[in-house]
Amino acid sequence: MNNLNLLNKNSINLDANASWGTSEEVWAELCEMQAALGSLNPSSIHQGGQRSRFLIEEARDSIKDLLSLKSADKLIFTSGATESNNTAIFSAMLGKKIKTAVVTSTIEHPSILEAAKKLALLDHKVVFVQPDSKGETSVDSILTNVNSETSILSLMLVNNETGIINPVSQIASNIQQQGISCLVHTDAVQALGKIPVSFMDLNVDLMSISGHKIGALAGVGALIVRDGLEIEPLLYGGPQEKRSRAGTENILGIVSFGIAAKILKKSLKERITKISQNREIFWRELRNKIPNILPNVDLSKTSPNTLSLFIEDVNTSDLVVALDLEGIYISSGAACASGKPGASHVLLGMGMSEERASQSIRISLKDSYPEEKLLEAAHKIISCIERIRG
Amino acid sequence: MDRTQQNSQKPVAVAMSGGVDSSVAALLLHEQGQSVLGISMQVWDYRNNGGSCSRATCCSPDDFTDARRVAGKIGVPYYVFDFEKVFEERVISNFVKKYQEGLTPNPCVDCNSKVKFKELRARAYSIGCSSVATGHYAQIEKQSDGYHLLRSIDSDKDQSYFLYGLSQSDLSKTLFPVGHLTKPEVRELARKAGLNTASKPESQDICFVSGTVSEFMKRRGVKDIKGSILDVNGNKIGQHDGIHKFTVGQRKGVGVGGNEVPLYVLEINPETNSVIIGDKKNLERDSFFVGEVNWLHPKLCNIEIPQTGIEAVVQLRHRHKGVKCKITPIDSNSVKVNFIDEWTTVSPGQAAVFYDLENREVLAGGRIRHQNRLSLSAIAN
Repeated sequence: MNNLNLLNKNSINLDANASWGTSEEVWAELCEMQAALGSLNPSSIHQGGQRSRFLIEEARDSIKDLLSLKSADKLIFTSGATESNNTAIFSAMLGKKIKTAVVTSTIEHPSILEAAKKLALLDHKVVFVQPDSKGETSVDSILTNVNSETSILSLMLVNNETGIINPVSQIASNIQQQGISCLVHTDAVQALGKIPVSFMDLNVDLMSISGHKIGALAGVGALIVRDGLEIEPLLYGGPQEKRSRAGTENILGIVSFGIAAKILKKSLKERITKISQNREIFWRELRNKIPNILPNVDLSKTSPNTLSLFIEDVNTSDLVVALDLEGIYISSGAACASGKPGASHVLLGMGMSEERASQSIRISLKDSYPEEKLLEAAHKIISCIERIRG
Repeated sequence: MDRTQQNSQKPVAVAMSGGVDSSVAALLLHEQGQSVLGISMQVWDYRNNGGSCSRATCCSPDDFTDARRVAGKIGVPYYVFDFEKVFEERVISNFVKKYQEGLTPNPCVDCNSKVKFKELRARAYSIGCSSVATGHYAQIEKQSDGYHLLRSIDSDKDQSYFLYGLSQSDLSKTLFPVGHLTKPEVRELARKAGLNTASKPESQDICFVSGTVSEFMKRRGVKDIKGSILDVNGNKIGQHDGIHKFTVGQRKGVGVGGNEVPLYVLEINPETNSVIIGDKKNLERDSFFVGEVNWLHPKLCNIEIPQTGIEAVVQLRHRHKGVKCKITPIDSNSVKVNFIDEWTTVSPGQAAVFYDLENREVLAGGRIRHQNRLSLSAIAN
């Protein structure tokens, strides 16, 4: 178990949008429940199975409660938001011959972009709407591309790299008012825990969420399906999840998701206040001490924990590594499969030059660090930038 | 070792290719108590440039997976850095250009002196490292007059030939932790430590060339330009479809049959797009010229080489055992080399690396220049 050396207890996670990290309260409750988490098959008739089923349904209720779902709205557990997003996109297209258009944006998560590109290869019409240079997607830019041919619109609620909040509910309402029958899906992964999210208020048909972005274990997510809407499953097999998602449920992951949701429901307001304050402290320090540092987007229009920053003359893939060696975790863009750091597809999708994108970082904060810890991290960032600039 | 201890507070960046040698380099430094991090250099986009991710090469995504596992096993951080652009500019484009010029390039030398020990080092510094270590089979010895680059104790594996382009300053910040070991010893250490690369096969080929050089050149858009194959008297005896498919000294694949004695490529002339072939004895020569010379040895790097010349052993290709020669300076970065006892094939474009008379320590090295004597006379005829 040598590799445990890699886990640095004193590290500071400023990469919360990549993963919030399993929260201590979630771990504690999971440990307490250990005896009950025997992972017997929840579809079994015996009492061992019944116990697992009960835990899953409790978790489902906690998450539905957090998201203000009506009891008839469906919450389908998945292996994560990638599966939720793929299910939403492919489900809307499966078995449909007339409506064949997908509308989405250029800065979605790869699990939307790649699924949409696959449909384009299969001769479906796919429209990728580019946001403006500030990363903002206007209601009109989407509405002009949605028509009676459109099968599904997928627009993320909060962008993972810039934090920009999209006017999803406004767009969904407009589509409804215009009588267009297109499905509206939102990837709300980065919104959960950072802004209030109500499925009802958003007025969408489908919504994806992820467990590990709110302190649950990785490997569990959910797709929310509006009452009355039937979706085609992505996976075929057993009748689990009301025939919407075959396969034995990930009991441990689902239970952790439920615990994290319950905690979030109680602490959301406080958490939002704290992460907003943390970002303010952090940004003030960086802005005052680092010359030529600029936000890539209008911070008043973002999720309160995210800072996408352009740092002139700093190759930020080096900065990420230099900071890692100091115990500070940040990111500079999406990592490809080989682990090679590449420029953020979101920044490039906003029309930013590769050069500028490669000099940008994303800092995404949690609520759990005290001010002195944040300032310590900010000072390490400042000194690493000074060293890289030479 | 004193250099390692000096810098113990700053980590050493180990260039990890995903092979067993660099894996053990990282392991040994870590075991010595040195703070270590692994870096792999992404120099080539295998997915978008054809080429397989086969185990015969290094730096493919599969190799990174191996390197990452080794780092995890040892317990050191590991990163992949993007060097595609600089590798293209300084290694690949030069490789293509040299072949078109009728030379046989040596991209590993360029990669070492222009990418690995330059760009990688610069980036290692900027992230806070003190020095760079690699899994090369060569040794660096600090003496009172400076740093000396010595052959590996494993003469089969020795890679000092590829490292002549380093400077004294480079050597002072470089570690070769496996240079004092043999390959079987390295494999044994990897096996004992449970590293997944312990029995991984050697990489033999040029890392960015999958398949043949001809296929690579074709993918790069280099057209096959037909030309003449001439004998030593300038008579056309055949046709070739691209001078980049030939190396001086090459015997196989010359494409002219029916001869009693084997034929060798004697010269490649890019100006006339011709290849001259003939008997082995025509390859024989007394002397040749070397350019782009780097004087590496601390006693030679700052002085003028005497006009009377110095005696040395010259190695003209990887695994060549070296022959005795005399080096006489022409100007600051080129020399004339005279064979003393025996001659060997001289392939223009390849590296000529000079060792001391004990054939143990690198003095200098450079690139063999075009030596076209026959083609000039052939043209004159």
